[in-house]
Amino acid sequence: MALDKATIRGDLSSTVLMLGGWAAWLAFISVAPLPHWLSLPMTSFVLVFGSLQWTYFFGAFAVLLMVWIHHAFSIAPPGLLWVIYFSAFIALKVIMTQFSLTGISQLFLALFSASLLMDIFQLILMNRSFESAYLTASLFGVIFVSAFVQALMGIPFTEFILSRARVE
Amino acid sequence: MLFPSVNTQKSWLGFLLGFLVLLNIYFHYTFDGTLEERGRWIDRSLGRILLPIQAAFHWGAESVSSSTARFSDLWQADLENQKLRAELQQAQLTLQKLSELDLENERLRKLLELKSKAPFRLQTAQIVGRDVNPFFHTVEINAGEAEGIERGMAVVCDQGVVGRILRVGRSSSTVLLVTDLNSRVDGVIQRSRVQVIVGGAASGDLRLHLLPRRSDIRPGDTIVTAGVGGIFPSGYRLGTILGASDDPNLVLGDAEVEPAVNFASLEEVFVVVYGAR
Repeated sequence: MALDKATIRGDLSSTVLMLGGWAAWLAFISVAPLPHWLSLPMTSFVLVFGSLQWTYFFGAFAVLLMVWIHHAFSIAPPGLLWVIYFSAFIALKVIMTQFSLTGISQLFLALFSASLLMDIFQLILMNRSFESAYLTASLFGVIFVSAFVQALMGIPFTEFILSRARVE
Repeated sequence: MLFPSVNTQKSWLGFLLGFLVLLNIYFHYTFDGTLEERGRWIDRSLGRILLPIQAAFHWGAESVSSSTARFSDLWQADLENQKLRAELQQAQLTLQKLSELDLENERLRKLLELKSKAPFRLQTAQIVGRDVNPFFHTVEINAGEAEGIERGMAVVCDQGVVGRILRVGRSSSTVLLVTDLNSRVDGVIQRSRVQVIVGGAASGDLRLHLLPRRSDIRPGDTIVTAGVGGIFPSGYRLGTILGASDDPNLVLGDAEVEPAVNFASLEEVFVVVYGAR
């Protein structure tokens, strides 16, 4: 489907706005003395937004830009992180094209599952780490709570995302 | 005429005064007792007459006086209360400031002590940021190439070992904390001198890796840096052993270690700069 120039300009500006806001959020949580449960990167929120806004091809570059931004605030290996983020992006994109988002609860589930999947990918691919059954349980507990809080924090922006989805 | 005519008020008053004086002289000489007691008798007699009047006047005056004094006291108390409240607030603020200064003083004393023990230059730096990815344990410090920082340098604080320099910028650096899974530091059990490898754990604590079985370690043992490898100077605290694995099927065991440094409240660190004074 060919996109007219105005649509592309709109997509680009909203993408730049989203990534700029995300970079500002990362900069904020890297220096602010927030509790751990609140210092969340909110990557899943950007990816849910991207799955509504970006094509697969554009998404690959946008996710690459996300990884570079993330690399400024973390030592996480960018190549591996790109694989993780892009996998999550593809999964979300498939879900978004198959099922239309109609409410907050569905968006909450999308944000929650994206966060959970990305953290599990990171755990497995970065070998961090299944040292004991207790640790595994506690780590999954932390990941679960983290995904839940990220999904909760994404809800205030639901209307914005849903409105973009309806426009599309 | 025996008595002078008394037809004016002035004359009456003069007469009364003279009468009282004569009466006083009479009682003075006819009273059976000492002079002092005579005086007291007069005083008492006059007192009996005047007491009710005095009491009435006193009661009235006292009532008025106490009422006005009460209001005045309340007013003064209110003013004084306001003043004391203000002083208390200022004192509390000063106390907070003094408490902070006390803690800072204590911390700086420890740092100075640490600095005096170290045979190399310690570059002071402050923590300005943390890793946004919860799976990695790094911090950003405000010292870089401009301060002589290089990749691989050890980072310590008054509590013990913090980590090592991972990335260096012009005026900032990234420190890989000892609690990160990628970190490995040579250590030694202070009591038994057993050499150990201390690494990070996903839980945020430390872990002894590749620990030979039957090693002489006990819960509560302190681990310090061994000084092997040329990065960490020897004798800096790494942590305390919490417990060791006791699986008889394993050739090499491991042990959980509580870090010596409280990373949650860490603000200032020292980068160990070798070859400089």
